[in-house]
This record gives sequence, structure tokens and C-alpha cells, in this order.
Amino acid sequence: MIKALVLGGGGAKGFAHVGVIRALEEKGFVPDLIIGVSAGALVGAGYALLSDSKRLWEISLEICRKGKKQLRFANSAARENRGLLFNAATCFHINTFKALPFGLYLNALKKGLKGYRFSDTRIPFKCVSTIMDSGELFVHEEGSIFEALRASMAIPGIISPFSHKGFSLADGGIVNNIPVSIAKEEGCTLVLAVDLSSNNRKVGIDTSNSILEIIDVYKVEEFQRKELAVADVVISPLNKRNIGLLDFSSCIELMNESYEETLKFDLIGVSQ
Amino acid sequence: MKIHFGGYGFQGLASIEYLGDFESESRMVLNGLAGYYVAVERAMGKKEALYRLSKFVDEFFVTLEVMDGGALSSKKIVSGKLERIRHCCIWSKSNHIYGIAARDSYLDGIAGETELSAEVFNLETRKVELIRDDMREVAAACISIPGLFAPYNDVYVTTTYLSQIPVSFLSEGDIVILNLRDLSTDKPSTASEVIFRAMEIRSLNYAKMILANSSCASVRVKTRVHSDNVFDYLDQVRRSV
Repeated sequence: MIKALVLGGGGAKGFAHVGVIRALEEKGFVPDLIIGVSAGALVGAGYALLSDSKRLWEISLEICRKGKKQLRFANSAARENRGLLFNAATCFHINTFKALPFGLYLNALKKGLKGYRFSDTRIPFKCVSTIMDSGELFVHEEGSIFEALRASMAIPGIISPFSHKGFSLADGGIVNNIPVSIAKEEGCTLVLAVDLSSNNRKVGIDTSNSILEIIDVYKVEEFQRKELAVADVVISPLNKRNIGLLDFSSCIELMNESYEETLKFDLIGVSQ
Repeated sequence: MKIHFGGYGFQGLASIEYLGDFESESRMVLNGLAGYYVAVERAMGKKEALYRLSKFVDEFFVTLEVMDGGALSSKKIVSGKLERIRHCCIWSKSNHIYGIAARDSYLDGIAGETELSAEVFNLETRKVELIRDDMREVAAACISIPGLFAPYNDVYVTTTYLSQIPVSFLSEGDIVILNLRDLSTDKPSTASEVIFRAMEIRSLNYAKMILANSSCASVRVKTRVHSDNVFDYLDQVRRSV
């Protein structure tokens, strides 16, 4: 049996993957291949390099604690009640500059990854991004891990696309937020997918932007349904609860919650 | 057999040159501006349809140009950005730029029963539906473009943002006018262009996902229509009419 662990995207919710991985390892599930997208790619790369869920947990806790102070910008951007001035400023910003100022965080990520390459991972690892000129999926499996993560995590409007091998690459979640089909194409016989999607966000139809969001979410859910249909096991550790894409204020709670949820999950026949 | 006919924004108009092949066809599933053209043409004739379509494009050009996305030409860097900011501010607090009266003025005189149908997204049920039987309703549904007018009957918007072309009701033997936008023509350079591109990629992939699971025939549209050539294109269509 070739086992794959597929880690979906979800912005700040990605910290939930850390809890899932720790619980899975305790239950005896260690993957032969990890495939991640966006935040799932970041956590997946960490696990693939360390091959030790406890160490991944410790490092993530440290990042969460630091992040609460350093990611103030992101936390403030995640606040729900934004005024007209904020909207106007955002409109001006996104029409004038390439993206929001996330350079500081990307530099920290680059420093943290210390030039690791795919060949350095202890568990085989791949991640995906979207080719912005064709809309196709790009599978990263060699070279610099930082560059692959930089592309896979380039959330539209927040982090600018990344030029790589002549392509303009952005968040893999644009096309496929849980790439189960890639694991199947790799010949994996058991694919465990971790789904961090939300389905209870109330969106009104009183603004044009919210109407577009409703239509966009519909498309994403259709893509997701197609991918999850071919997974052998699906874990949704947050029970589809809605948490803001940039809301890093509750990362530690997410790690604990997903750990407890996954421990309850029946993995008989999967973890051998 | 049904014909699936439409497309996103100005590019949607490129379908019109293929309409001649299906003049006797009454069973069509429509969306967007090209869908509106077909409804008016069947109700009031080609000349009136083209007149109304040209007037529509002219009156709402600024908004349609912002919706068209893509990189701004060097001549429009400043004015284009200001228009985008203005629209962005309105779209973040309202669901339309123009009132219902502006939309309804384009529906005057359109009446009667029809076998045409308009593909719409129901924002309340979050499902794709067909508006059918009544020609005026079909025409209205086709121009219920999110951001331009408020949703038709409060809940319906045309499916051009969903899948660009109407593909949600494909049956065996149907023909699809494959009028999808070309992503390779320009590169997004601002965050708003990247966001728009991401949405567009999802629309294209959604249409391709449905088409991959169908056995329909398709006619590929080659002409590219965008804000820089839309009036020339309409002139060309007018000459052929």
C-alpha cells in the first residue's frame, strides 16, 4: 500500500494540519508521500523535512507565539467589521500596488527554510501552484522548497505571483485546493485528505463583491467535491467551521482542536 | 438538440458571428450580452437587436471595461485606475452601478413566448437554473450582469461569472459555442488584476470540467473582442447585417 497525505489550503487554518499530523502519527499513520497546497504545502514541507510530528508541533507552537505579535497586520486585516475608509484604502491599494506588504513574512520563511531542497526531505513531498497564464496546475517536486512554497502560497491579492521557470505562479488553491487527483496519478493506493474548507460563512447579496464571492465559492466547492470523491479517507478537523483566511489569532487552539478531532477518527485498516 | 450560446463581457459578443449557422434554431440556452442580442433579434429583428446592443455597450462602456479586467493600455493608465477605484468602492457597498430603470429601458417592446432560455445563477438557493418561456424575462436575465445591475428578481444573475459560457445544462447532441476568454493575451500587474485573473481561471476550469464530462459538439470561437476593439467589432457586425 502506498499511502499519501494530501493537505488542503486554508490560510491561517493551515495550523490545523499540525494537529492532524501529530494525531495520525500517534495512530501509526506515516505517509509515503505528502502533497500540499498553499498553507498545506507549508506544513507538509515542514513535516516532510522533519519526519517528526512532535518536533513539527513544537516549532509550530513557537511560530504561533511569535506570530501573534509579528502578524499584527494580518490579524488586523482579518477583522470582520471594516469601515468604508478601509474599503476605499484597500481598493486604492490593490489597484496601485502589486499586493499587500507581506515581504517581511516571506523573508522570515526564506530564512527559516535555510535553502532546503526537495531532495532533502525525509518523506517524499510535492506541492502545487497555479500557472496564471494558462490556468493549469504546476506540480513542484524538485529544486528549492522555498521557491515552491512561495508560489503555492501566493494568495491572490495578498502575496504577489512568483516567476519560476518562465511561468507566473500563484496559489495552487485557485485551481485545486485539495489535490487528491495528483496523489492518485502518482499511483498512491491510499489517499488520506485533510480538508480545511468552511461552509457556514454567511454572505449577503447586498454588494457586488459579495455576489462574486458567492459564485466563486460555488466553483471552489464543485472542484473540491470532485477531488474529495476520489480520496479514500477524508478528515475535516475543523468540522467546516469558518475561520478567516488571515486570522492567525487562534492558531494554537486550531492545532489542539484538530489534534483532538483526529484522535477520535477511526483509522482501522489505514494506519498499518 | 440545444445550442449553448454566450460568453463573458465583450468577448461574449464574438459569438454573434456564429449565429447565422443557427438562425432556424429555437432551442438555445443563452447568457451575457450575446444572449441578450439573440432574444432581441428573435423578438424585434436583427437591426433593432444590433442597435440596442450597440447602445447598451456605449452607455455602460466604462463599467463593462472595468469588468473586462486585464492590463490597462498606456493611454488609460491614470483614468483607468481612477475608474477601477471608483467602481471598487461602489461594489464594496452596493450590488449595482445602474438602477433598474436603466436596465428596463433595454427591455421595452420585448414580449411573447419563446423556446429560448437564459442560464442564471440563483444567489439564494446557490443553484444554476434556466429562465424560460417569456422572451422579456430571458432578455432581462441575460443582462443581469453582477456589478452592472442588481440581480434580476432579487436573486438571479447571468452565468458569465460562473462559467463564462452557458454549460450547466448540457445534453447529448447539444452544440456549444466555445467562446472562452484567452488568458495569454495580457499579464496581471496589480493585485486587483491578479484577483480577477484567479476568478477567471476558476470560471474557465469550471466550464472545462463540465465540458470534459459531456459528449457535446463544439464550435470554437477564434475572434477576440475586448474593450479596445469592441466598437470596431460591432461596426463589422453591422456591415454584415
